[in-house]
Amino acid sequence: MSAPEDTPLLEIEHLSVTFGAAHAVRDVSLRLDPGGTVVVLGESGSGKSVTARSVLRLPGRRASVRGRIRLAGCDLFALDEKAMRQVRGRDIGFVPQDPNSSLDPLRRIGTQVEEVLQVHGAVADRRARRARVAELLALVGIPNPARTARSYPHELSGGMRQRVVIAMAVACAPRLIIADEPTTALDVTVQAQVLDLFTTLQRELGTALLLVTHDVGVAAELAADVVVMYAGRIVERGPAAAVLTAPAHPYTAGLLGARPRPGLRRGELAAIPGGPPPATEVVDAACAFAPRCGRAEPACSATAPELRDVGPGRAAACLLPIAPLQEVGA
Amino acid sequence: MIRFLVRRLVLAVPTVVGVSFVVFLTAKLVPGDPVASLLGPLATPQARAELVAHLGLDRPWPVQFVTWLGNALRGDLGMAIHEPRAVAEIVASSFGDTALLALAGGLIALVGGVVLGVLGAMYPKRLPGRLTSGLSVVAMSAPQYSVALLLVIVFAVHLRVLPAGGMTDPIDGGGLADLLVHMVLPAVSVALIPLGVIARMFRSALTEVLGSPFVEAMRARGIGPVRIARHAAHNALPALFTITGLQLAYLIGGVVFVETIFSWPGIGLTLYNAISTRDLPLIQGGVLVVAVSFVLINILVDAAHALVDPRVRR
Repeated sequence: MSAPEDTPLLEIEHLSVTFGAAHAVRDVSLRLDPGGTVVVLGESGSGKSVTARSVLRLPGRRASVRGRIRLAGCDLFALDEKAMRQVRGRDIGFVPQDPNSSLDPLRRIGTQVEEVLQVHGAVADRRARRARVAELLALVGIPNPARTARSYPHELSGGMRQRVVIAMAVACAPRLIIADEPTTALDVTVQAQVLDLFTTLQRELGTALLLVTHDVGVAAELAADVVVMYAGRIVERGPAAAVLTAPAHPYTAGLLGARPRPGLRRGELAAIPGGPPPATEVVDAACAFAPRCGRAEPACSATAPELRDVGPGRAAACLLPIAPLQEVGA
Repeated sequence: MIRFLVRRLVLAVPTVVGVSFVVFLTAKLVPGDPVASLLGPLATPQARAELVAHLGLDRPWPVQFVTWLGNALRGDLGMAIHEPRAVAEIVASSFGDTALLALAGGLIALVGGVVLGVLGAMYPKRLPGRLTSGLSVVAMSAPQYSVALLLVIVFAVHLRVLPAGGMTDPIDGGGLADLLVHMVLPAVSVALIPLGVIARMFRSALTEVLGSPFVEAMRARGIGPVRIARHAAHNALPALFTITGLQLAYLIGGVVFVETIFSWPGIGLTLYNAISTRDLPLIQGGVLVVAVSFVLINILVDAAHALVDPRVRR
């Protein structure tokens, strides 16, 4: 797979994923440049994980997928299963949500990291492969790589396990890392370390990162492009600095308002009223957020808003976007 | 690993003592007076008193228990009442024959159960899955007794390809081939229920592993189905060991019917005869050996589990 310089690394076009009657992802399009970072932000059930997993063509059982996904110009949906297996792990590294359950509990760490290298033929010679395993473990900041390679998963802490999983994701020097809530299962202090690790690896390896999270803080820390999803749709996108300080979509504003901050007294935390609609009940001809939105007008329940430009590099799917520089959480 | 085994063995001691206590008490609670059954209704009170003293039945039962247990530890289980042989000798030979039958049946159950279980886990919604789950239900629910009789009628009476009973041919018997031929029908009869149980348990264990997050993570790393199957099988092994061990223990203790039908001279047949003749020392000895083998099999299962799973051995 080679592509001219200006081709985006990842292009998702009009992706829709349904599970029977449940419409999990609706017409999602996004692009990611080589070495770039996109954070997909949304609450559970917003379709962010399914979007990320669809890039690996592992959306889940009984999913039916429409749309197109291209990696460096190559149509992933056109590949046969064997070729797709080569893409997984070699071109795209995946970091799943829970490091505590994403390693085989019965195999040594070293063997499991080595298996990735072996399967993708990254290092042919056995001894060289062992050496590479130690290098990789050192790369992700594991203090004693040789000893860790001989350990079993249950002998490591959650943070160490997540580092191992990240080592496996970057083992074959992929061009893209997809991380699905990589910090959710970790302690807050470890979360920051893992995010730092992603940034460092990106700088050193030139890898692009597609990170899925429900945590506004994670998006702010990575200071990347942010894509906010709600009920299977993208409701807002743009640079983190702009979107997270002056959101254009009322839902983004609600997310920011619902975020606990120091100095906030009891009762001041603003929850968004109601809950997201079930994926089986989202209608195409209305804004899915309208029933929970304080700014909603009758028109919001009659037309589905398209993503429209609301500023430099920014777009929001709202008929009545919040004007720039307006107070957050109003 | 060695420390793990030693600890398991030490922990087994109280279990065995407890088990033997229950065995001893049960034999005490069995209705019927062994002295009356030995001497008959016309015995004189003096003869009765002599026999009671000889068997030690006049002493308090805790003393009887400790004496019995002490002797048992030295391999002395007393003399059988209706046969002029030591209980230990009878039990040892018949237990060996049962173990042979149980191992053969266990092997059939293990191989058949694993094959059915793997097919069922790999193709749950398609023909192999449905077929294997049906087969395992039939295997589990078919009464051993009628299956054994049916096998005899078909293979020994009508087709005349296999012997109807016994361990060896009485005329020109002996040798491994003869033993194996005699073992087929009883081994298949005892294997059916464990086979069904193992198939179902292994299928559900495999299905669970195949749906676990680490398998999903392996798929996302581009690891192929053959390697995934290997990881899954490894992770389902502890469940397989546990259920196979339990079934083997069940086979050793529960082959009375089959041994009776095929006149297999095993511990089941021995116990059956001992119970019908109120041969108390033989009952106690036989049940004790079965119970102790149950405990030992469980230790073996734990050891196998520890070999496979690093989280267990410590």
